[in-house]
Parts: sequence; structure tokens; C-alpha cells
Amino acid sequence: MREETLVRNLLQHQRVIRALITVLVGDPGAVEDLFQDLALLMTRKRESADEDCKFVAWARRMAVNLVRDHRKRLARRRTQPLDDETLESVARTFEETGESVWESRREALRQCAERLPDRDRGVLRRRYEEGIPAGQIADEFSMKRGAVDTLLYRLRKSLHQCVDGKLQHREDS
Amino acid sequence: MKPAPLDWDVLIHHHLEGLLTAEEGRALGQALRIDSRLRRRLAEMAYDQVVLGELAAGERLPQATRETLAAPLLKPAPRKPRRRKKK
Repeated sequence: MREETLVRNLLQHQRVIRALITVLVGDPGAVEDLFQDLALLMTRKRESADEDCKFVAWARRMAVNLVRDHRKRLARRRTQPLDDETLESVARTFEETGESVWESRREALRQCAERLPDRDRGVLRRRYEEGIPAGQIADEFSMKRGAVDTLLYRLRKSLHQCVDGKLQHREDS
Repeated sequence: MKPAPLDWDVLIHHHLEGLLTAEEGRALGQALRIDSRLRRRLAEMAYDQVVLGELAAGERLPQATRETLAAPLLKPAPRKPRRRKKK
């Protein structure tokens, strides 16, 4: 695979690949570093991939090994209750769904998240963009740790419902 | 008395947050193996998480420069302190 093709594919599929890593690792704080590692690994291995290969499937295969190594390094500190086979079956879901479907989801989510108050936006940014631990976020926002977890869950659930509603409405109309 | 039904969204949230207990993991793993809709829901919630972080921070705007072509999407290296010129 040529370098330009690799970069174009990485840019096009970066959200899906980050989400795939998110499923595999189950730790928002580790996603960005693993994504960077994966991008480097793909750059090194690009010559072994065909120009028209299924890019997300190729990324998934490499991400599985990368995350497995990452988890082995952390094994003494933390165990992953879901087994590799189960997580990989979820990761395959990303290949079965076209990029346009994910893009529609992203646009619906953007609309749903537009009216979020600044505090909620700040918590989401710190947790999911920067990977800051919930305990630290609680200190920054003068909240209890449990309240941060509850807020994140509430936001995740209500936004997911909002997105599903918007996508359903589009299908019906 | 019947045990309360499991809320899969809570378990998915716990997995994505790294809070899943061994017991929850067994229940969620078993359900994920047989339920394709639940696998899809987990994938969607992981995707939402990525997009939410991005939206909350403002859109990521990749720069089409030679540097990004050479090292795609890598974080910039920390700046080295400038050395003062000796007079």
C-alpha cells in the first residue's frame, strides 16, 4: 500500500479505528496512545498490504495484537473481564457497517450534543478526548467521583437514545 | 424472588470505562456471544464515545503537510528548549 493511500484511509476511518480500540481496551485513557502505536505499525507494515485491501479489517487484526500486548503489560495491575474472542467479535461489527452509516451517526450525535451545557462538555472532553481519569475530573469540577461516573453514563445513554431517534426518523421520512 | 434483569447499557458503560467486575464480565460476555444486536450496541456506544470527545474538544483538523504524510496523525513531539547563542 502506498503511503498516500495509507494516510487517506487512516484519516477516513480514524473514528471507527479509535472506536474499535475503545472496545478492545476498555480504558479511555489508553485509546489515543494505542491509536498512535497502531498508525506507526501500519506505516511500517504498509508494503505487506494491498492497495485495495479492506482497511478496517486490516486495522482490526493489528489492533487486536497491539491491545493484547498492552493488556499483558498491565496484567498485574488490571484484568480484562471480557475474553479476547468476544471482544474481537464486537470489533468485527465495525467492518460490517459502511462508513456512511457511521458518518450519519456522527452527524446525528453532533446535533444531539449541541445543547449540552458547558460543564457536561468539559467532562466529556477531559474523559474521552484527553483520557483523564474520572477521579481527577471529579476534583477539577468539584464533584464526587460517583457523580462523574453517573453523569457519563447518563450522557452516554441519553445521547444514544437521541441519535437512534434521529436516525429512525430519517429512515421513516 | 426473581433477580432484577441486567441493564446491558450499564454493563457496556462499565466495560468502556474500565469498571467492569468479573461477575458483570461473565454476564456481558455470555450475552455478547449470542446477541448480535448487543454487539452492535457496544460498537455504537464506543463510536459515540470517540465522537463525543472530539465534539467536546472541537473538530480535529488534520493538516495535510509533509509531516503528517511522513508520520500520520501522530502527536507533535514536545518542543525542545531553545539554546541561547553564545556571544
